[in-house]
Amino acid sequence: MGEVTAYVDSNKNCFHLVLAAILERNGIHPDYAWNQAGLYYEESENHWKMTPYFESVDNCLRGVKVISEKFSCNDRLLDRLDDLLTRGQNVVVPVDIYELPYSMYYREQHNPHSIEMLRLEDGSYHICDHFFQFIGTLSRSDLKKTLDAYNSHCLPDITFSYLQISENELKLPDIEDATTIIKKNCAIMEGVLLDGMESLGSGIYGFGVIVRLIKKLDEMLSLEESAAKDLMEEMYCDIKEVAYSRDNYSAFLKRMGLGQLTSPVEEAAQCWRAASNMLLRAKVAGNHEGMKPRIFKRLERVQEQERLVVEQMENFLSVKGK
Amino acid sequence: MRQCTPLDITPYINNRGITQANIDHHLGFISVGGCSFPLEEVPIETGLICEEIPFLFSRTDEGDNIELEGQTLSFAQVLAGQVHILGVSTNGNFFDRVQFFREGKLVRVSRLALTNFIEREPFFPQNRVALQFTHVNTRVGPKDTFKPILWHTSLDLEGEFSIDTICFEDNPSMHIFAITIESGGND
Repeated sequence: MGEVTAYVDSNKNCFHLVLAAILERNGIHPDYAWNQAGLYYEESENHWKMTPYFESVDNCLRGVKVISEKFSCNDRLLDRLDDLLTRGQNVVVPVDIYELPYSMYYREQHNPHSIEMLRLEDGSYHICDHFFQFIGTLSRSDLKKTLDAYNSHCLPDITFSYLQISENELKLPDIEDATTIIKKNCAIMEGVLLDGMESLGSGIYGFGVIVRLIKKLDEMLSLEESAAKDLMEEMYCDIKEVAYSRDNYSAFLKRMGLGQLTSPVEEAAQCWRAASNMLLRAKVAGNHEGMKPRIFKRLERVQEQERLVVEQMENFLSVKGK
Repeated sequence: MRQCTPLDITPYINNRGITQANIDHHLGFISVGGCSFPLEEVPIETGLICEEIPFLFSRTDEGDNIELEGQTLSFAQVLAGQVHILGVSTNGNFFDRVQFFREGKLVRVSRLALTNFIEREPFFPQNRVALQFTHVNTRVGPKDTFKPILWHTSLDLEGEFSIDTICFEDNPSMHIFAITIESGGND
């Protein structure tokens, strides 16, 4: 393996950053892999789920598989990790930033995060943290600490992942695949699934989600600040992920030679991202009531832009269908 | 004849993005994570000349930059062909609308696009490096894992117009550290 550099992309979460870095290192442009820009929301008593994705990421790239392995015991995880690294397989491992000595949040703040494990050398792990642009080593005891912190503060089980790329089966999307993806994204936004698309549950699809989201945020921002804090953090991540999906959809369309379609998609991405950052700002700086109208105004712009996206895509599909 | 008018943005400053290690680094808030640029690397007193455009910095008790929240900047009427801005986006790469007025009438609408301060290359092609810092100050002290950049961008008004007001959108992820208005650039 040549020298590893951090993969910098403001439009991907830390887990996707690692996958993108590995794809790029294997000569596959990451733009091909992230093209889903739907919207789904469901809520149960104390929890909600909001996502722009409706299929696994590796569904978008024939010949690429994301393999995940789940562990309830970190010693077993480390043994398996060592085994994979020894065989030259890079692995994406979830950690808690609280126990990453190089992080600006070290011993300050708990938060789930993903790093790439590159190799094992002299008892230390060579890692690349693409998000924090850190390439260096992590001792076995530091890795164990951050995994234990992840168990205590993020999720009780740890699932690590790695990519399996089959060069013989690899096929990048062509214009017909891109057309199918555009149709699926429009279908999700209009809440009418196409044949072959799996239901995500009994929640709300597409434009209706934005109306529900405004109501949810109104409730959330009316809570006591301490009670709202964790909910706001989670909702911030969810809204940001929607923004990422729009930016990545735009990059995909450009890569497929459909750059003429991207303007409203980029505007939508900007509005989602601005709304998410406003929510984060409200969480960090307080003043929930003051931020409410600002966030809602931005989400109204989101609504307008999302409608423009679907309108533009449907025009494209109808012209293409002629 | 080319004329450059640096604007005094002092009345509109609402955010601290420049700090000193071991003095006020914990107060930096250019990003919600608490990042800021190192004071010793910003020519606050002398200003900065970038591509022959002079920029003035401001520093008050409130901070040193404008975090965009829909402000209206008013100033003495000036002829404008290009509006040069030093700024950054945080937690993403952002663009948004900017409106230019004269005596209450809309003269021009443009788009301000600013690359994230942590990016190594401009995300928006019209952005150029104004200053690249050796490190970033964080709430827990200086970190040199990335070298943040203050970006320079120019809004071309496509003609020359007298303006006395600039209106920004409500987008707190965008920060402006200096503005200079240029006219006569094509003479």
